[in-house]
Amino acid sequence: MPFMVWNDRLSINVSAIDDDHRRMIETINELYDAIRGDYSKDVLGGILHRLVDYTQYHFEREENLFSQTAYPTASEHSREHADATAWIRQMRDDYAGCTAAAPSLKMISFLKDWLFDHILGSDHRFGEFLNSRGVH
Amino acid sequence: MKIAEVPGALLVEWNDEVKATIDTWSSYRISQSQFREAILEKGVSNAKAHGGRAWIMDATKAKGAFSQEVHNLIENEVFKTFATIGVKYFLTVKSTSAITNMSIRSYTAHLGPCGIQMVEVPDVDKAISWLKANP
Repeated sequence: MPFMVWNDRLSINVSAIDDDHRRMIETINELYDAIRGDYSKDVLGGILHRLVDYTQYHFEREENLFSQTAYPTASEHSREHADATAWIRQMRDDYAGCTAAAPSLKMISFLKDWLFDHILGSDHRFGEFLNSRGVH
Repeated sequence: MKIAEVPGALLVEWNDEVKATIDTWSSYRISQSQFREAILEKGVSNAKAHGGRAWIMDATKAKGAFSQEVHNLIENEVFKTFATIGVKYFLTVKSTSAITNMSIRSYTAHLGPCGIQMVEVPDVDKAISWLKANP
């Protein structure tokens, strides 16, 4: 069974954002498998790099929607993005620069918990806001 | 009184009035050796010499999560050492970062088995007040 599994409860009823979340979950699952499988530094580093890139891309998509829709709690939501992005980037850079070992399964569990909490909390509130304005 | 410092990450100070060591964290990006020197060596040595009974961990401005190596050090050595030198209370001030708070939740789960009481407080002033009220 995959480490993270998408389910309907995670959907915020905005297809582009749901698709992003599915892809982030897939990438975290790849990372988990690579850590458990003790994959090479190149492979693991590559997955971390993709995770950082895709996370930034996804957060930018949401933040563009904040601007376009004048979302009232955008700054609070963006702070959560900045917090997570900085941490994931730090893991990638420390691993690439050989100042830290590969992320542990505990770190990946934090990432999983953070993403689920974020989707079920802040992203669901944003989804309801978008849905109320006809965005799906 | 300043006991130790890791620039950009940690300041360790001593409060003699309440016999507590205060860790002020600005980042959880710290190596195991830096953590060991600042907390397990300098912090513990000072607390032991002055009859320390509490440890205050202020993570208000901290970001990120401790590495696995630092988690292992805290869970396997730090809390046991605190208990050995007579630390009874571990007071925590949470971060505004959800990721840092996950890290805190994870390692403080190991306090109970060491016989150290965890107390959550909103800020360091409240931590000091709590210690004065609980001599």
